Amino acid sequence: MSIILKAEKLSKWYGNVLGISEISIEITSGIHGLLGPNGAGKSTFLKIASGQLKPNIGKIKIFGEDVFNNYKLFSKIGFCPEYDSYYKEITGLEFMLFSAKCHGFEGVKAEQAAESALKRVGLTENKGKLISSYSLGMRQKLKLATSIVHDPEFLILDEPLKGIDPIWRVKIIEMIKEFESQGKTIIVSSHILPEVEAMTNNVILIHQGKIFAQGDIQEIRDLIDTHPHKISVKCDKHRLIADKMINSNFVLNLQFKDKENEVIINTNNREIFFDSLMGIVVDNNINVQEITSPDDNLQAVFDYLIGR
Amino acid sequence: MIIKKDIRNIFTFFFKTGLRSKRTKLFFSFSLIPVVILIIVKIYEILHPENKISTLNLFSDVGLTFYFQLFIQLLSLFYGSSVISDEIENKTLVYLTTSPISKSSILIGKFIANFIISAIIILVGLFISYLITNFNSFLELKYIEEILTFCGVALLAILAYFSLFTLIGSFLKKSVLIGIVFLFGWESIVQFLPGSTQKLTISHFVKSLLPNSLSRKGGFLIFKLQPSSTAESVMVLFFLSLLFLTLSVIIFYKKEYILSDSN
Repeated sequence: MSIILKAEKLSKWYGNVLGISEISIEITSGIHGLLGPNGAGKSTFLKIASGQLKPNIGKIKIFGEDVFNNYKLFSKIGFCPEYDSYYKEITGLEFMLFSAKCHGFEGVKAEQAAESALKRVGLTENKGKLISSYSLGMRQKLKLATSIVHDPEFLILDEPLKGIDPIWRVKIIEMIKEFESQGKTIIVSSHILPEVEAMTNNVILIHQGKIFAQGDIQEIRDLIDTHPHKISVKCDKHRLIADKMINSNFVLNLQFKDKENEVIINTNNREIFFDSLMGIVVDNNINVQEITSPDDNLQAVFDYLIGR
Repeated sequence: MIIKKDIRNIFTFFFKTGLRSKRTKLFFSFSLIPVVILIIVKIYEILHPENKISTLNLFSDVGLTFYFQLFIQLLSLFYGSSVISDEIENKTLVYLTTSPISKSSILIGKFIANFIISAIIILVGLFISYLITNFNSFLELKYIEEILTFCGVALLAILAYFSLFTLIGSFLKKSVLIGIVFLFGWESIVQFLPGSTQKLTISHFVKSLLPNSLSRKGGFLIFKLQPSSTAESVMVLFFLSLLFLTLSVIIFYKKEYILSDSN
């Protein structure tokens, strides 16, 4: 499989602040999920990959060519940026027509390309409205449409599902998978694991500016499943739940917040814990107000994985 | 040919969006202030011919001062600096730089669009003002020559200031503030200093090109010192415009623009 993107010891600082540090990676065709908590360096990497930024150290090549100031390369690359930026006084269709013309389409072909991209992201009905009247989700779809208007070989999508409604999330994920089936290369960044999981098994974990792990998402899932989880249960008999669970070997420790009728349980096996909890709740007719997992996010997983 | 097409695409887009923008509507309304004043004075002049107030004096005292001493500079500042800085502030630069269009085409295309919008705003106001002033004798050759001279000088002045502010906008974040300091500090003071120091301002060369007859009429147009020759003034203004525009293209090409707090 040919290498589409190759980065060697890529580092970027913003003054004294580290963006990314010594990232070396090779990307071949298919979908690659770039996963990491906010501030991990995902966007910095993608901005370098899309020629927005120059690395301070290291090299990056796409299709074997340098990226920064290599404008011709962008006939093969589509980029959906993270920022919610747009031209205020034009319609969605006008913006798409402009994008299509910038990519070399003319006349009727430009109109066809623009209409087709708008249709793919579900904006046909709203194409004649000013972008400033669009919702966040519609603007996000428009950004996606501009990135695919020229049918690129390589798509760089920075948080592409941000603000998009659940139905269209599914459709866009399907669209991205369709690109993969056409042999294209896609990098999708996200800080939400299930989003990436829905698109690909191939993930790159980035944390504190470095690539922390790369490979099959199942391995990451296993790590997440076995790492201790805090689960908070608010109910009318929180001490009873604690009493029933205290001797179980999947419970590591317990904490009470009596004022809130809450017990926080630290478990090393979520699956068994929830089975047991459901049994206790049903058997004792407990009125549960809320079950939450305060640390069930990517940041907590990363903190655990790096041994904080 | 591809470069020409790219410049045309960028120009067409920004010309259309620029014409529709609130900024253009605001500046266009603002540019008609002297026109409104001149219409009022003209009516007064017709109704009360015994009074000494005349639109001719007012045109050189107020109209030209407004356009050549204030409005051309302000318009060039806001439109010139916005060529690049608007794209950075609105974070829309990313859509341009991730297209297969060279940075020089982007800058030149948008420069031309903004320049033409500024020129239209100025020339429309200037032309109507002149028409009102010379209402009875407008079709005489000398008046047609004069208005053409005014328009030509206005275009050159816009070009020179515009290029300078495009350059400032391409590498400084607070380009408007710096531009205001330049216009109302440096330009306003140095043009009246004795010796050749005044040649360090753009306004010296702009004023040198204005018809001499007006320097006897208008306050601001009275040169404290000798004006430069027409040929020298035209050459200097063209040279400065070319220099500033070339430097803008080089800076835009080389500079890395960080559009937001990156993570």
